[in-house]
Amino acid sequence: MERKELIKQWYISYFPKVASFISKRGGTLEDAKDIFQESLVILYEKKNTEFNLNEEAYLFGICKNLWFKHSSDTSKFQNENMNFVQEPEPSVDENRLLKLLNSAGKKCMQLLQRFYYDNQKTEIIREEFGFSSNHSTAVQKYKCLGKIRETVKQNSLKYESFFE
Amino acid sequence: MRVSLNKIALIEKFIFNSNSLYPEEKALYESYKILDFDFEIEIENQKRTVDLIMKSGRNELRQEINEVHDSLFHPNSKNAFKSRILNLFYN
Repeated sequence: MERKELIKQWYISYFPKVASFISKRGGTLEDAKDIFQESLVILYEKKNTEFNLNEEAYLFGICKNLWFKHSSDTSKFQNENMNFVQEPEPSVDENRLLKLLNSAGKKCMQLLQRFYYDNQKTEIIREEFGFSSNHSTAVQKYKCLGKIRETVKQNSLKYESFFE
Repeated sequence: MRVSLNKIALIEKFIFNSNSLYPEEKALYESYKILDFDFEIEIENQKRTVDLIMKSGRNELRQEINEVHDSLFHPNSKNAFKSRILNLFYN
């Protein structure tokens, strides 16, 4: 299934429950949207590594935690999921580098995202990108990683400024 | 694979699952550490590169989620789903 289709399914299946929970507690539609969207990112990443996940229970749990955090100054409701959401905003330099990587090596970035971010199997990526074998898919992956790594290295001064 | 690609693959294995390195891979890794002064820098660069790829993937996902939201809540669209949600907040 295409990813956008999956997101739409999640929206239609789960957003009403989350929106109802937040509206009953005085939240706005914008609050519900922000909390739900952040929770979908966490759910997507979790699903890539944990296949027998009860997605509805997991998603609603995250939404509740995010809502409690949003509506309270105390940290008593925080749990491990909050670490993700509290990740610092990317710096200007990081955004510039990401833009550079996505424009200069778009195809490579797409391929590498499928491997690392989507945690997709080599066979599926091979079919998607039209490679002749798993071996040639792996070769292309490492070629791309080398190319992108080189770009990162060349921009190391900017890069250091946001990683330190 | 070319030697340089094998080296990238070796670093990847070291980063993600160093316990799965075969004895000969461990030996190769150790020899790179001793003989190649830039090896540690290469490892750090590769970790950072993967981190950026993850961030880029996350940004793209966020954008897609937002596009789905916009399509469901487009001002011109009249659908039962949108009405049901808006009723929760504005009625």
